[in-house]
Amino acid sequence: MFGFGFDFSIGGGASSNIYDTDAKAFIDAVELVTPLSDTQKLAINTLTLSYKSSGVWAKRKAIYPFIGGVAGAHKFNLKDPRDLDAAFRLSFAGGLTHNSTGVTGNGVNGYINTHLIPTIDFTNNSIGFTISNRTNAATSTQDGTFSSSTLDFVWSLRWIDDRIFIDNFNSTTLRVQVTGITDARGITSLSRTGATTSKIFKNGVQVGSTLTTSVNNFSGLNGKIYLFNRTDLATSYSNKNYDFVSFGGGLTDAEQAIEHTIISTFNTALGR
Amino acid sequence: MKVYIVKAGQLSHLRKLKMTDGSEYNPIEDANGNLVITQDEIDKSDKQWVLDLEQINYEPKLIQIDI
Repeated sequence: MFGFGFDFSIGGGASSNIYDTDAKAFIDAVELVTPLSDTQKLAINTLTLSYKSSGVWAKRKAIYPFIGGVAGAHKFNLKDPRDLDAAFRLSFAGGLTHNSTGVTGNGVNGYINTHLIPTIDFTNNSIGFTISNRTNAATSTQDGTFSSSTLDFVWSLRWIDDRIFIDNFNSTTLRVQVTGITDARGITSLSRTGATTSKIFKNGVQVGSTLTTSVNNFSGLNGKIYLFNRTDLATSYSNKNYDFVSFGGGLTDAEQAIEHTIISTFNTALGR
Repeated sequence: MKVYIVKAGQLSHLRKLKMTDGSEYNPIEDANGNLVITQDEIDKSDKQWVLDLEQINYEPKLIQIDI
């Protein structure tokens, strides 16, 4: 069951609404940095309740709604809004732009450290992420963490040759990829739900084929996951604009579709 | 694109600083071996010595990406 927090304020408006306790904790953390409108608070509440009622909440380790328009607000993880690396609070570096549509890389040196480490925070056969991207560009830029061509967890939402590819967890036998992707915008997800089941979803629908190769070389992947760059490169920085990101365990096809709807509804409520 | 050169003696000082939004500076190496930061970082700096860094044109250093 859900927990609820109560916020009784004189003056009416959304401040007198009942917020889910996790939504309220997140709102409080953000509002220490910047005030949110009633519309934004209600959108966060609906987002949280929707994640919970669908069961996807339990499968997500980190949810970054990028609300508030500034770095200090965008860093918070909805699932654990403590201002700590251990809570997967985001750390920003280099040139990044923060506004009402989320975070945008500068393509030169801007990146985000999620503090998520695959071997510690995920399991070999249940891992996934979702990124809502607003920039359509085919570039040689990647997100993720990289040790070698035989041990990496990196992805590109649209490579220079119009591919989505996601390495989980190498660039040879464990690469999931789809060709003919001419628009990087929208909600792209990876879901690995078993040793022989890795899928890419675009806007809630699977694209390409399920990767059924079963090779377990997950152990040793100890680098922190970056956004807008991969951990080993001083180049490969992205200039994309992300408005929502989540990480966690693998989602079923149905859960993937639900998360897409949840995120779309949230962004629509925010007018973005 | 304009970028700003961080000299060797300034690097350790820059590493200890944060920008006005709490982000860290991320100096990178350009094609000529200069360590540089970007206009975005200058715009979010409140340290005069950072604002006074020498401006140059950015020449990206190309690194082979293992794909």
